[in-house]
Amino acid sequence: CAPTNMFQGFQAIEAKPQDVKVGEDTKSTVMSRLGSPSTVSTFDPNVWFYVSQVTQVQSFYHPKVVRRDVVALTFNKDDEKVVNVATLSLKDGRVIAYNGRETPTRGRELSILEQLLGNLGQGSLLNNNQDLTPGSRPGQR
Amino acid sequence: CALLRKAGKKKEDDNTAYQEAPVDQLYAAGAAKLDSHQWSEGIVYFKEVERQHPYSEWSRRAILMQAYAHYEANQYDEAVADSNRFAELYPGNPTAAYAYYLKAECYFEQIVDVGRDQSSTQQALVAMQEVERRFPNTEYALDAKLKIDMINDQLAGKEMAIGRWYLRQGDTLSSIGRFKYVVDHFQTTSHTPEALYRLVEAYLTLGAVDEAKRNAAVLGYNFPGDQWYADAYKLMQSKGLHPDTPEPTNTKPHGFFHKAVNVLTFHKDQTPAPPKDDTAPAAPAQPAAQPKA
Amino acid sequence: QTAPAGPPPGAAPAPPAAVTPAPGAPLVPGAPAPANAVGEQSGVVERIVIQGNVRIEQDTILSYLPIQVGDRIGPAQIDLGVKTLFKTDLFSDVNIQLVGGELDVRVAENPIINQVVFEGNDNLKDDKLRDEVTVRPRGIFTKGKVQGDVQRIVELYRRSGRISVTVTPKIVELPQKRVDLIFEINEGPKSGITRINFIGNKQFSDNDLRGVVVTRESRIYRFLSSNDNYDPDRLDYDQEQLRKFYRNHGFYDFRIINTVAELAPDKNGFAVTYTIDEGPKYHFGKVKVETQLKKLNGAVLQQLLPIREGQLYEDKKIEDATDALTFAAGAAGFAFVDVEPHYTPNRQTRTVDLTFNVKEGPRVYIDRIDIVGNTRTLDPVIRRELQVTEGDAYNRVLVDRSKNQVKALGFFKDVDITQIPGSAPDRTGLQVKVTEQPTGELSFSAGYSSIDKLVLDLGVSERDFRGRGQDLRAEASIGSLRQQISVSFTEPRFLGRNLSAGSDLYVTKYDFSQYAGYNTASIGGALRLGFAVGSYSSLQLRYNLHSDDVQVDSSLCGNPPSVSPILCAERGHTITSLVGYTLRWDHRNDPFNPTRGFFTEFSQDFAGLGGSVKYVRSEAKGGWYHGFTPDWIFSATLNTGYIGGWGGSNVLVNDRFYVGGNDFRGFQIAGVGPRDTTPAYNQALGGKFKAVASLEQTFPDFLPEQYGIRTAFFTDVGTAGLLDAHDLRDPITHALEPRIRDNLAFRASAGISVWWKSPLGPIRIDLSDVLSKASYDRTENFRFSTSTRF
Repeated sequence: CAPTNMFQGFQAIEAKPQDVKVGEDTKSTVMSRLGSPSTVSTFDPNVWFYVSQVTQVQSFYHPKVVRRDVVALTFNKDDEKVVNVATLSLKDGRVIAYNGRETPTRGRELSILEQLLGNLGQGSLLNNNQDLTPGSRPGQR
Repeated sequence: CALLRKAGKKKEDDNTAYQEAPVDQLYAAGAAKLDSHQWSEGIVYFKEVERQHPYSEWSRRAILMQAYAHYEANQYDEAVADSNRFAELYPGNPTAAYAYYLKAECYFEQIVDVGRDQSSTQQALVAMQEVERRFPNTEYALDAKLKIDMINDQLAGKEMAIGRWYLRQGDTLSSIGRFKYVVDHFQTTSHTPEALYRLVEAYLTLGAVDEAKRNAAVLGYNFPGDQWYADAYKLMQSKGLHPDTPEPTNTKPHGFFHKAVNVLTFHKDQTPAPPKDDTAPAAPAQPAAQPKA
Repeated sequence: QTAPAGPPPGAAPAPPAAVTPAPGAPLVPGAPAPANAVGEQSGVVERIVIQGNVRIEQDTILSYLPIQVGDRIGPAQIDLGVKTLFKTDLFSDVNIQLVGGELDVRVAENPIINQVVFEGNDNLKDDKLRDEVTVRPRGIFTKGKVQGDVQRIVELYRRSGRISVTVTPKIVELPQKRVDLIFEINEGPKSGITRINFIGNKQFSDNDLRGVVVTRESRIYRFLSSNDNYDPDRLDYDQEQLRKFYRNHGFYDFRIINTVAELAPDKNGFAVTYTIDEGPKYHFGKVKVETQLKKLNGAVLQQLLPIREGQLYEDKKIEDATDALTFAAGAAGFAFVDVEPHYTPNRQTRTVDLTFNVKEGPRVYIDRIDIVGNTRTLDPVIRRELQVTEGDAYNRVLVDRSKNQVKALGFFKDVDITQIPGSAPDRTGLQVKVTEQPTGELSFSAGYSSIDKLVLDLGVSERDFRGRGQDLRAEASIGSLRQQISVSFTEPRFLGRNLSAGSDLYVTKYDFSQYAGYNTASIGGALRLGFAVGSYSSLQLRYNLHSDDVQVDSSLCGNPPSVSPILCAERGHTITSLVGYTLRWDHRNDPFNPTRGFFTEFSQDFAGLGGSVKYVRSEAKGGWYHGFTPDWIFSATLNTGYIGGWGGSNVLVNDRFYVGGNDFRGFQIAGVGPRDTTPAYNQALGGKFKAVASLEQTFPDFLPEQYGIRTAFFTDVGTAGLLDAHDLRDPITHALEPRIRDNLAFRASAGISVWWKSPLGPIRIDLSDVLSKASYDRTENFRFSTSTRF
């Protein structure tokens, strides 16, 4: 069965972030042509990122990223002109083992009893079919 | 109170088995019930006080006692309703601070874990902020300030949980959005170091190395002793990058004690009872006990 | 354009009743006009004097008053003061005068409500009204609130069909400024619908159109439903239904000229008349797809349209076409696509030409997705079902798909995805709002079934265990025929993949001495993995290990045996270890009660991977459903199976197919199939082959659907049989045993089945008549049992 592709993040239809011209384009021309950036650097408002990604989903396999284009535009602080256009693709990405530790949070967890008997519904979805023919076993559902 | 019988042929919603009794007796009986933790019985007495003597000082304090009793019996919605009624009827009264505080406490105790709907967390935040704003120099405001930090920490925790899930799912861009939201809106919470660390991880996944360095630098500069910075430093080195910020100072992982301390513990008994205001309610003006009509 | 001919006399809803004072106690004068400042009302305030307040303290009023001592005030500030005090709802009258330096504030407090009483409300109960009104005992009485509540009560009555209701609030003054509020309600006659008739309908009969509109004519047997009362809003909805019905049947020019609702002279109901102009029937003319987007090719998109030239014109097909195009463009990477159909009707040829214009829509991205309302289910369990993530382009079709995916979880009463303002003009947020519904069942049922006599059933099942979407079932059921304890657990997203994994453990004891002459105890477990292979197909792999113990008490197996000697030969203990798979295509529109589509399923089990039993069992199932109308649904199902031993071993008795009971109505359990007809024991032996087909046609039961009753005609046909050669002989003498009868005779039965969702659980009753059977089969024509349809 054919895998399905999911197009995520920035969608470049006509105008592409890659062909932004250094020294010519400014923040406003980029904004009008491409729309607002996928994300901006956390602490430097003059670095914009346009990220687009294609993920392949097939049956029970983990979704696999098959293509990723990241374009980082750096602007000059004063005249807001484009100073540098850096393009990255999938092979530039680093494979990271994400850290397992988590900062603790609070809040009341559902107690086991509360979950089981928390909201009992009426009617029975229970499979109490009278399938009494000998040799039939619930395991063969 | 035969007049009542004639007017409404239907019985009042709560039972009025109690005869018209002097207000201080009713109040005292209610208070006794509360002391012996029989919340619902106490509530019936205070309702009676309020219904029979709506103008006395007693009825004002009766509403507060009802709110407190509902709160102790974990009937949060009724407690909030009573507090709102008090605020509506006696906005100027000094004990209104307690009513607002109790309402905020009710929402605060319904905060659930980050995996689920945080609507009561939002309500708690709004209510606590209102206590701090309306009654700035009361003991309630002090407690509210502390709890606001905890609530913000909880909201930041939810953003981080979703961010981590997106990161592990492979939706790197979505996770960056969430971690940036924590750094922008919840900078003073305990989650900021981890948010910066995750941004380093995410940008390295994308391959934007210098952005990763920038985030690691801010993390190192602001939280040099934090374990997260130690991890970030190790991560950068393992990828052949040498961050231009000093060595992490403390590489001792957090002890279990640190983890246990800030886990929210609900001590219901720490919540104060309604204040015994100094002006003991004046003996009711007209003789309370009317001969049974 | 509902224009009831002349307002029905006396039926027009009463004008909002002004609060009429109760006899004897003069009410506070009417809505007081704010005191207009007169004379020199400006200067510096030296003192503020407050009079008339009984319950509300001085400092409360001072804290509200926007004027402090020492302010220089004028008429504007005084007016503002009056307004703010009024807004607090605490006062019925406020009067502020500045006399010299003294600000004289005179207030009259609103009374407190002692109790709220409803009189004359026979059809709507007290607490239903109490939830509707805003006034509360011990709350503050204001005229504004009372007016609003009168309107709410009138609206409530109008919706339940009494539009000539009048509500007059009355006040009873009590000492200490308390009041009792009494709503005197005069419900007036119930305005039903006596007649619905249509003028100008040539293509469809009046009855057909009555089926289309929701409003029904008042009939006695419709006492439960509220659709038979006159409600102008519902008439507008009916017109929309009529328009949609005609536009979906080719009448492009359909028009409703007018709708008239006349009150019958005896005033007990309305006659509703629709005058319509059908116009001619239209067909689709030329259908084209135009697009400016370079990468998208119009011809390719053309194939995707479900519309062909010459087909009957249908609005619905145009909507489906728009969806198909939007999704195709989305799949090709164009998330921002706007599909606009242009109609060009041609009156002469009675055709409608269609051009779908596919152009670039507004470029909007999703910046945040918030999930709210999940009080039990964890956030990732919902988020992983969404087809869009944060940062993606906003694509309507994917958002609709996400909504259906979350709904398919079955944990929520309703699911709604709405757009909320984003952080930038070209950004939008999505809010996924869910309302949880009970997913757990603690069921205890004691039932009687004609086969199993008394059945006690205790079960706990939770479809959303720990809010993680996991399914956990634990069940113990004790019946005279079957005692079973089973626990089963399923994780739908095993290892975070789109792979469902589950395991079952069970201990079962069957006592079939009455029917098949033996009883068996088995203990075992199963592991299963299931995953989607295509969008409609899925594959399940399983490993099953169970040990069975067949007991036939030796007294029966003596000489002469009172139990079939074959059974005595198969006593003892066996271990079965089998691997199996099930491949399933499911195109039904609804898994629980399908009205369209089909499903097929093919499964095989290979026993003999170790263990003492060796067989291959294959089963094929299929079902085809077609709903003519919601009441008339036809379904045909087929169930065939064959089991054969391998490696020289025979199929044991309890592994064979037993047909009869629920799967072949009209025959007892194991009533169809090979049988040892020795009069002493008359034993069912089960067959290696089975094939049963069942045709069902539901019919309307004229009862409101709240009863949850479904009725259907059915006919079951099929056969079962085929024994190993060794089983045809007497195990001791090895001579051919004539009394063992096994011929694949054709069996058939017909009858009526009734399903009832009773409060105790689903009940099923089959009344059947056997049309043809083998002489030795065992039949029954009444069967009562509880059965859940999956």
